[in-house]
Amino acid sequence: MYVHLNTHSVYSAMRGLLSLSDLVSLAKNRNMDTLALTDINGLWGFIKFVQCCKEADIYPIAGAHLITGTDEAIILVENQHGYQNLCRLLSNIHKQPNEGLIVNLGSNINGLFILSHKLSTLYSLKPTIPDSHLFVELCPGLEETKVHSISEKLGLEIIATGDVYLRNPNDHNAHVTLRAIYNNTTINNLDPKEFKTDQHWFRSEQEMIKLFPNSLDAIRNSRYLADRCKKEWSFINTIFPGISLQDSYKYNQILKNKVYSGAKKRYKTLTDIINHRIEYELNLINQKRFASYFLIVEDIISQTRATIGRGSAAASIVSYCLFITQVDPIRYMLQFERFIHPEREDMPDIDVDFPWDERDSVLKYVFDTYGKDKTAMVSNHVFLKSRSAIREVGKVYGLSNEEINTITKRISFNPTKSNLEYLVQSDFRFAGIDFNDELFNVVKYSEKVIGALRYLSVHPGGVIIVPDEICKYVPVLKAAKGVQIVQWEKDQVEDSGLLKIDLLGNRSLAVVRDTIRQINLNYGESASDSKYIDYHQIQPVNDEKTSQLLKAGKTMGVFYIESPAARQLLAKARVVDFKHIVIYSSIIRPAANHYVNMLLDRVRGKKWLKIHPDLNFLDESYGIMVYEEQVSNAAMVMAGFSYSDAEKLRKVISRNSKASSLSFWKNKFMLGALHRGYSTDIIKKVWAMISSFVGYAFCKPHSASYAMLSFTCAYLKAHFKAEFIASVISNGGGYYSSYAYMSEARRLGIKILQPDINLSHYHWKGWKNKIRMGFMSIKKLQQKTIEHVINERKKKDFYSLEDFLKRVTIDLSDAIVLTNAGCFRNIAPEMNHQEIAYYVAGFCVQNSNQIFLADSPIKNKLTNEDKYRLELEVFGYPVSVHPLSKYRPLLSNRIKYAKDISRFSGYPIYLIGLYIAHKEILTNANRPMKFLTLEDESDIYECIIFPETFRKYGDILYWEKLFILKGIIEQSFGIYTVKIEKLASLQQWVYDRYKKKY
Amino acid sequence: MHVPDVFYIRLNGLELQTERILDPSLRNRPVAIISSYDSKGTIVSLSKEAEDDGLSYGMKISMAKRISQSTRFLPYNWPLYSKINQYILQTISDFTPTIEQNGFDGFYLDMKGIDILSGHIHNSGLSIFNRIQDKTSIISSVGISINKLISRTITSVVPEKVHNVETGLEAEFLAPLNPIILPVIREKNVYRIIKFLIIKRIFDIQVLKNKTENFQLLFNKYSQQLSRECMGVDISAVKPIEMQNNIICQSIIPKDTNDEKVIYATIKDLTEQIGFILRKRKKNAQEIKINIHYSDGHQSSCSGKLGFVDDKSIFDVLKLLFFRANKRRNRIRSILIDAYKLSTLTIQNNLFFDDKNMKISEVKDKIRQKYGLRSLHTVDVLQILRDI
Repeated sequence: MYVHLNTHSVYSAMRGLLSLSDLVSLAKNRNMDTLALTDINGLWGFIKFVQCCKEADIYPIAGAHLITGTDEAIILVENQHGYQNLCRLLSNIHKQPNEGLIVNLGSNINGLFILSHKLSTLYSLKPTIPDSHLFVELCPGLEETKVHSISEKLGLEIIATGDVYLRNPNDHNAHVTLRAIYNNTTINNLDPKEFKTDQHWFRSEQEMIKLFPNSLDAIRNSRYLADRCKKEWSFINTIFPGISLQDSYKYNQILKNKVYSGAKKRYKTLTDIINHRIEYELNLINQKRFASYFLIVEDIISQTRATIGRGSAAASIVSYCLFITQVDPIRYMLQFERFIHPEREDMPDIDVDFPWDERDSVLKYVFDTYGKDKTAMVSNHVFLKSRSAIREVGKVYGLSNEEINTITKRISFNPTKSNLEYLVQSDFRFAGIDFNDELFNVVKYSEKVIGALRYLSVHPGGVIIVPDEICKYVPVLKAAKGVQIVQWEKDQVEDSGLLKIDLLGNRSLAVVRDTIRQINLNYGESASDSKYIDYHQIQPVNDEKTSQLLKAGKTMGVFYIESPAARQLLAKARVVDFKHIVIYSSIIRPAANHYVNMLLDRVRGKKWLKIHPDLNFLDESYGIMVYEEQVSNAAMVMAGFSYSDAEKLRKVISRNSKASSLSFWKNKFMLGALHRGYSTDIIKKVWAMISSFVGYAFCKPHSASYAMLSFTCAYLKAHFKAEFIASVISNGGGYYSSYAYMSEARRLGIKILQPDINLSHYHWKGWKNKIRMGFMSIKKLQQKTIEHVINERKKKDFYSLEDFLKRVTIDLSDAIVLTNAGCFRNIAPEMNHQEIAYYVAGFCVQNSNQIFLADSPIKNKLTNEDKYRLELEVFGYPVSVHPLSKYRPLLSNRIKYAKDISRFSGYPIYLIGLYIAHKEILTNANRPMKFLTLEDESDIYECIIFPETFRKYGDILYWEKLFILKGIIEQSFGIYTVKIEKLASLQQWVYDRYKKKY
Repeated sequence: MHVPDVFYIRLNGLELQTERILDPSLRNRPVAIISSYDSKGTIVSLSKEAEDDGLSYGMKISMAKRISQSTRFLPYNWPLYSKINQYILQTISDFTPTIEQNGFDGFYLDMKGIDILSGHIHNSGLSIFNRIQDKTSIISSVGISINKLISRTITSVVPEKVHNVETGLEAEFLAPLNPIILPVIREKNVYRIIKFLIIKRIFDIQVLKNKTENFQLLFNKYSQQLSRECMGVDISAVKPIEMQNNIICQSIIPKDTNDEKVIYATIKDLTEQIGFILRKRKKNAQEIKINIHYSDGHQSSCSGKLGFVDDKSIFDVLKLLFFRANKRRNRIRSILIDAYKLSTLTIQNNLFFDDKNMKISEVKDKIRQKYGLRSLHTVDVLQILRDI
């Protein structure tokens, strides 16, 4: 029976078109029991390949298709030693891609079978590789007679391979398209050497015989070679950055000392409950020899102050006492078993968030401390998705960005390979596009290339540390960013048994850090009204002002609960203690809208019945499944799952695994529950709740950890609003744009002050009821100029425009933006904008021979329109006036203000609005609708556009920012929203009436 | 006093007017001419009615179609507009032999002595206006002054069909206008300073000019030109076509494409046009520039030296320039070739110059002179043009 020993999946970047499951099912359909995966220069998808093969009952063979500067060969793994050598070889090839195969192999030749059709490669390998391990490859496109003569000449056996890239010849166009994308060229201009012919498709044994009728031995040899390869793969044992047994005791002791020392700081007095919990956890940690792991994480987090441990680790008192996590697991009743369970085989990750701008230095510390040979970052596999596929294919076919955007803007979710073409033909959102043949072909080819690996990037924070040599476990390479990464993404890393520590950048931690810094500068210990605060000492829970802010849903800028949906939920619920915030953080998931409303009813006092007495673990969340451990619990209680099966189900659900895996677990759950006597109705209800977690699930400790950060942010916003919002904007914002946060500041009564050459810093700074814009808000202002200005100012403030220009050497471009940003207003109060501009321009262009005479002969004042234009140019948004204010005088009194909408509940009104945010969702009937957040000069307001209205007016949302609308005010749980009935472009509407453009 | 004798004829919205003449049903309804047969790209000309519907010049067709359902979008019919343009040129040639074409829709006329021949110059302007209208039904506007700058400016800011600016009043005429109309403002450095100083009227530049030293510092090498232009001074003469120091040929590819075969055929076609004109005028261009216009509005150009004027040599140079200029994958809408720095053609005996190519070109020229420029194409050009 023929075995395919040279196949390429989508992991052969921008070459292969077959997904791993496609490849495996092709083999299965052709009754093949063994299959090798040989992606180009890597084991990119090997772990997933093994999993797919196991599911299909096929033996997987590890291999790679090596392409170096001079050589080309297929490498297959004979044994574990060979696997390690292949990983080393692949790592070497990425280090020195121009060296030949023999140089990259070095002494690591054991356990590898090598096939090549290149004579020069075979010649170079022949003296080193034994004949039993070196073969001549016969693949499509080669003449059998030539290959036979090489075989005779070198005395080597021939192996026939399919060199598979395509499912069938019809996929060839898509392959060529991928190559054109990769080579950054067009289809017409692509060099034929860059792509394979249409012969490279997945053949059955009969088809291989038809292809190579004179090489039956070569076809049979594939089986003989396959049988000599390693086919059993297991990745249960965690590859742990461990230590020898004799050191275990030492590290256990160190950990114990550190934990108790931390516990004293955290709790002051250690009660029996605390002591008992610490001992219980330490005991389990020691048993599993995880002490060094905790010490490594503790060492890493000690590099900075504002950190937050997330994930299940937040359930551990050990983590809490080591300051890895910030939530007291005893106070908030977090179960340690969610983190480390006696039955759990694998080690759960400890994930820690750092301020986003400190993450790089923390990673550098990790690499420097633990060594590059033992440390690498996890990679991200970036695949072509619907939008990127259309973008890339569109470029290959020469479409302009504008044309490409017309399609991509309308795709708000990720259509799969099978429905993109159908979508653009049938969905009304695409009705406005002129689809000609060319554009339609772009969509057609895009559909075929969805899922192809585009490139590797660096995972935001996943780090792997191993005990010995990292490239013996997985090939490594250098990412474009310069950091060493492994070839696998996080799921494969976890499944391979490698231990990953997630060190992620978090903007809100930087916001908290910067807010605290500003507060301590403004109200430090020396200030008369000292309000000095410390990150670890803030007690935000149960603070009255914080609760009021949360109840009002005024949480823009507050970590994790600032989206319109979260703000509305908070305002509607009006119960905002820690327990509830943890629930809200977990329930806002894409598929859980139905349960959000159910929860609101119950929180607001509506009576509810338990689904079943056995499910009492749901009581803490009003009988609704909110946390992912509740999924595991339900599976164990109702369907009798073992702990490990329940964990598998949890993983399948949270990873949004493929439909077949999900249906397997669904059946298992249903049958198990039926067997245990639960009614169909109950089982359906529970499974519906479980399936609402697909792709998006949090455990309670994680939510509690994040809720603590939410509370901290809310506390800072409630007490130090100016400092807080300034820090939010300085750190690049969050869910909303800088402009939206600036508007929020205004609504809170804060005055926004434009940049000033003596008073502004790089970042935005808040104090009491004022925020001073930072130099960072000025577009196109060079970093070096900002540094120069700030350094020079440290010596002495600038006392005049002349003083500034003499002390700071800047070019005209920087001088222009500083002037237009109004930075010189306070040091030249006697001059108007035009005079300052004249002076500044003259100073910058003068030279030693000609001195500029400062007095400006033109002294016109800036109009409001000029100010507006300058602000848009310099900051990207207006600062001194609201964008809608110039339209208001043109509108009749029938157009209401947002602050008044509560007075019109149940009535239709007209409003104008500036776009702030939107979210598009699909209804149960699969029809798109939209939630829209707008603001006018008086307030921010939420709108809903139902499918029918969206169909009529939704198109405008793709290209307009200012709107006029008619909508009915609806009230739910005391919160008002606008149900939009009509929507139009405000600019167009005004133009239609006044025939004047504004 | 010098009599205003430089006329500028502006054919307002020539494309649109032409379409409306040919199809009277288009009158009074919104019409927009778009840049490509492909019905993609941008609006290049539009009627008042279409403007009232919210459309504007340069607007993407995709957006325009969303904004106005009633507007009729017509593809750019270059051959037709070109014919009308030539017909108008012939018509105004009756008034003076010295005519300089400015783009597709404008002509400068040197009307020296016209005041003596036909009395008041305003009447001459009216005569030209009426003649164009009678012969072609195209409505034009006529600007009259002592120089090209003012005459052209008149037609873009004064709504009257004929208007003249008396000699000596040029600076006054320009004073309230936006500086953007001055040619020198197109220079990046000048524009940057004008914008920075928030100068909205030419009057302010005239004031600035009085501080000569500062003015020189601010506008550096452009200060003299700006100083002249803001006062309405323009010393450039009206140059008839044969005296112009450059030759421009443009081809709008019927269907936007990035297929190199089609593009090279287009360049070859342009090569033969440029070569024919150069050889006919017995000129050589010291430099030649290729300008690529992409379908999304971007442009890219590259210039180089031209050694010989036979078709093959020109084509080789242009191919190389195209390769250097085309760094994008976007489809190309049109290609423009500008041969400039013209000098008298002198073919010296050169041992290394194979004059076979020149002889072939000359033979082709003879056929073209007899049967017209477009009477002869090479097979590959013909095939590509036919295919698309």
